Amino acid sequence: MSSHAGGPDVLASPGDDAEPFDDFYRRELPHLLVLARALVGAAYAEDVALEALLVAYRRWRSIAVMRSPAGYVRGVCLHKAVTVARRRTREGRLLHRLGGRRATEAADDLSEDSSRFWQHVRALPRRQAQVVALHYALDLSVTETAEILECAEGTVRAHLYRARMTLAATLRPGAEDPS
Amino acid sequence: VNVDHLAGRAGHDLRESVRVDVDAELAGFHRAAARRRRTNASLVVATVLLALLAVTGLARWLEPSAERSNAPVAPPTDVPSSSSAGFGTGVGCDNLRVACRGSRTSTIYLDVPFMWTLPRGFGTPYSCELSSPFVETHLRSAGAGMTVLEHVGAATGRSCRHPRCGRHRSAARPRGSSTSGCLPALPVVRPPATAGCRATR
Repeated sequence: MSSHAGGPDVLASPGDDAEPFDDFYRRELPHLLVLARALVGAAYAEDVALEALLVAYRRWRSIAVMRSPAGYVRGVCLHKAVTVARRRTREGRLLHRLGGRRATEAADDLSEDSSRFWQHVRALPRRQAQVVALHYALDLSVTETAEILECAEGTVRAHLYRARMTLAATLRPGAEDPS
Repeated sequence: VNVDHLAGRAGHDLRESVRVDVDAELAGFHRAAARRRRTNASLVVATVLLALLAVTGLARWLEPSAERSNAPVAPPTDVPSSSSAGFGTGVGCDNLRVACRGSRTSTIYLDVPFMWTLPRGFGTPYSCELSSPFVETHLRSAGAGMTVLEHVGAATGRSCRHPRCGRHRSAARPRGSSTSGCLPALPVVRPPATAGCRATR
């Protein structure tokens, strides 16, 4: 997410009362955990969410006066999730090369269908996975999703459409497991 | 497969599955942030100290070798004392006890001969007539320097060759002598071997 500093995250008027970081943390942590869990799984979700919050903590004075601090930090969370996903891919390859093993997915307490669904989402192209996570996991509208991703609503709809088509193909009974 | 329906249910499941004690998490977060701050501060201090050490070491290493090795080197064992061999040219080099070896290095034939490399910024008062009992090196500007005395004798006949007498003599120069020029040759008065040691005052 290279464009966090600009775009829709323009500064609000200086007279606005900034929210204390602790209140923001209490409100936003569950959402970030959901988002991270959708994109990287239960094993790394907490790390991703806390790293995003640490970024917010360090720069809270400037983030607090943005029009949407939550949107900004969710964008940071998406970025951290991409980094972790890449690291996981590298680790998986290394483990495979070393001993033919596979990195084991931490067990989560989701139903089998939901767990399988999110595994398939993680196998989608990065932008499609982000759109699905924001739209379905955080239950955000297309407009809100577009604001966080700093793109047009039409782009979000296109990504959603492609993601649904891919998921429909991969989730049908008898389709191959993405892992 | 109705993906939209399945996705909505999976999203709902995911939201429901996240149960977190935000206050406990917040306390842990503040502790972790403080720890990170301390670690970062320690790293910064360590980096600054290392940089200072490196700069100091580099500065010392870059010092001219002449200034680093301004102590006299070990005396050559093959040169006999009071030898007149190896005389060079230049002021002071015609002294019986000094052999100039070039590059501001001389051999001074005291009881134990030693090599002396003149440090940068120092000069010799060789324009004055050197007396064989001493070699004196002075700073050109400040008048400070180093005096090597050999066979220091008593200033008066009332003294003796006891080391105390020499110490007294070297500590108190004769009135009128300059600290930045040449010392006058010392009048060496050797007391009789049977004489006792008396104070010079």
